[in-house]
Parts: sequence; C-alpha cells; structure tokens
Amino acid sequence: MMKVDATERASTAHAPEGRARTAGGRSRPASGLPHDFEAWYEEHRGTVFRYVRFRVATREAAEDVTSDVFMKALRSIQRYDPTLASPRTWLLRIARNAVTDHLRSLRRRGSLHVSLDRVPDLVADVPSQEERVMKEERIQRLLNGSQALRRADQEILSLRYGAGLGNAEIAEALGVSNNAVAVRLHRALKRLKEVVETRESS
Amino acid sequence: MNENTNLDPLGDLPPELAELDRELANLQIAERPSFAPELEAELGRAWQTRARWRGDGHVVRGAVAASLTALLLVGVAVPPARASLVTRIQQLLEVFQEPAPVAGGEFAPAGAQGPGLASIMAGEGGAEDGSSRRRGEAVRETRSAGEPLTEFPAFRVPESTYPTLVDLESDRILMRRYYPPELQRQGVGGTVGLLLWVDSTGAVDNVKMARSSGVSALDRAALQAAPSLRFHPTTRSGHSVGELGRVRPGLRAS
Repeated sequence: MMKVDATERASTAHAPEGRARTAGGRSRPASGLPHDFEAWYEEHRGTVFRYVRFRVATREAAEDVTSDVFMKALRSIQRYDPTLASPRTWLLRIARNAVTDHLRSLRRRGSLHVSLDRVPDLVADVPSQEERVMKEERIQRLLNGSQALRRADQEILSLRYGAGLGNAEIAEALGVSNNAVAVRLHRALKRLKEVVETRESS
Repeated sequence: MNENTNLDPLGDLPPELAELDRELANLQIAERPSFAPELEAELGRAWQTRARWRGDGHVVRGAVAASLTALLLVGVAVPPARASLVTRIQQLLEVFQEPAPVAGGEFAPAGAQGPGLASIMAGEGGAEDGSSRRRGEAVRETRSAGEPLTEFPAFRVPESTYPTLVDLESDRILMRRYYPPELQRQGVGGTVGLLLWVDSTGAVDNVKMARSSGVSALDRAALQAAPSLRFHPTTRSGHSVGELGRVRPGLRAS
C-alpha cells in the first residue's frame, strides 16, 4: 500500500526558491505547504467550500468549516491512501464529518435556521433590487427546507448542487451504485419540494 | 462563483422536479475573494510550525529526558545527595501541609505550624544544627508581630472617555440624506457596521466596513455619510487622543 510522504514531497518540489507554480502555470509566493497538498488546495478548495456552504447557514460558518477541513487534511496527509480514494473524495469525506460536527454543535445551541440576511452571498447578477429580494427569499426557503430533510437527503443534495459532483462521483463518495444515486436524488428532490410547498402554504 | 450548469442530467424527472433541479443547479455560491489566500497562508503557517517542531523537537525532548534521568541517578546513587534529596522532599511535603495565613494578612505565631516556603528557600540549618527551633522562625522574627505587611504600590489608572457622537439627531438626519430614495420607496433598509478612526479633534478618518447590510447601495451610503459624523474625541487623563471607534448606523424607511 503506497502512502504519500508529504514531508519528502515538500522538500523536493520542483519550484524556484520562494516561488510556487499554480495549476495554470502562474507563479506566486510559496505557501510552504507540501507540494501535493498545495495542488489539492488549488483544485478542490472551491468544491469543498461550496459543499459546506450548501449545508450551513452562513458564509462565515462555511469559511470556518472549510478551514477546519483543510487543517484536518493537512494534519493527516500522511495517512492519505491514494488506492482507497481520490483526493477530492477524501477531502469531501473530511468535509462531511466536519459539517456533521458543526451542525451537532449548532443543534445543541438551537440555531440552525437560515435567516434572510444570511444568504446575500448566494445571490448575484440580478438586474433589480426587487428580483434580488425575491431570489433571496426563495433561496432562504430552499435552504431552510433542506435543513428539514433527513441527513442522507441533505448530503446527496449538497454533493450535487453544492459541490457540483456528477452521479459517478457522488456514488464513489457515498459508496453506492450510480443507479442508487439517481434514485436517491429523485426522492430527495421530491421531499424537498414537498417540504417547501408545505411551508409556503402554511 | 459557481453555477452547476454541467451537472449530470437526472432522467425521467417530472416537470416540477426538473424545474427545482434547474433552480438548485443555478444557485450561485460566491467565495469571499480574500478567503483563499488567507486560508492558504494559515495552512502554510500551521505546516511550518509543525515541521519545525518535528525537526527540532525530538532533540530537545531527548536532551531534557537525558538530563532528568542523569539527575535522578545521581540523586539516588550518591549517599550525600540522596540524604539531601530526602530532606528536601520532606520539607516540600511540610509546606503543602501548612495551613493558610490567618485573617488580616498576618501569619500565625512562629513555631505554631510547619516552615514556610521562604525559610526553605533560605536554606537554614534546622534540625541538623541540634537546635529545637523549627525552620522559618529566623525569617519570621525579623518582623514584629504588630507590624503590617508591606502593601503593593497602587497603579494609577488614567481617566479615560471614549468617542461619542456629538449630536445623535443631526447624525440621523445626515444618514437619511444619504439614504438612496429608491430604496426608501421600496422599504429596503438595514444596518451597516462601520469601523472608523476618530482623531483627537473628533473628526472621522479612515472609514472601513466591518459588517455589510447585505445591500450594496446601503453600504455605500453609510460609507459616504460616515466622514461627516462628528464625535467628542477620546480623552486620556484629560488629553484628547485618537481612537478607533465602531458605529452601526441604521437606514430604515419611515
């Protein structure tokens, strides 16, 4: 079983002294991180952040949880086994656990609700203020509705619509078949629709 | 910014679920621009600290462990050192059994209890000189029974005031002047958190937004109005000085 030796790779990274090269070939100041980890960070930070943002109430909380995910990944990078999971799947697994911990701590404090002033970062490029307000309200309803779903439903929805994973990647992350993913997504969407409609009518 | 427009299609969705699928797929999730570099720098620092600790830590830990082991071996193997060690341990045990000082800040009469830490640190002869006097008496007797303990000098705390708005009502009017009329008509309002420097004359300088209202036009209005706010400046011991202040002006339709 091959394990990543992060320390060794960090010391043998082929980058000029004090500079590192991004995936796009752009030169920027070196962060001093292990070479592999830096590439993963560049490539998958957005995915992790969006997955987390879909599941937590505020951008600030999403930033905290995302920081926590990468800190945990950095601490345990030497235990990463590329034969078991791709880096993205591994990072998303850490993210799922971190989100669960975060939600558990919030549940104890009873502050899971997404309020209207917490969603502006999810709305952009709308032509008028009225449309922005309407869209914010709709997103608020959707996010609050998703909080009322079962954890498995929340997870599959955030992997698809937050992290933007394809069905095969969701199947790998959850350890189920592609067909099962399609069925679960279908059901989760149906339940989300019911929850949102019930709340709107009441 | 993310729009998941390239997601795998979900086959056989009824129209209402297909609409919800499209709506969720078009949800835009924006990262704060400075978040990525901030986190990367934080991770870099964490990694460097860890690498340093892992690099040098085992040498330091090894040296400390070796020194302690050597001291223990010497203490146990050499008879005079062993006797001294036993005596010191007994003295320390007595210290921990000593009752607390009596009320009024005065110690109890000498000899009534075990020795104090000060006497042990002074290294007096004690029982070894054949005297029946307990350790610590010599130190305690240098102060007569009625003499009060020396008090610590009191620290002078400078008298301070903090920046306050000169005229709240005129500041409200000022804010309303900058409140965009179309937002007023639509009833869109909010509160903006501002961080500003109030100089020694009470004038405002260097305004920054600490918390957005969520409506960029409101944020802009508050930032434009803030330099015209007037404050009573901070004073320290009667002198006016500059100070960082926070205000949260609210812009709401009446």
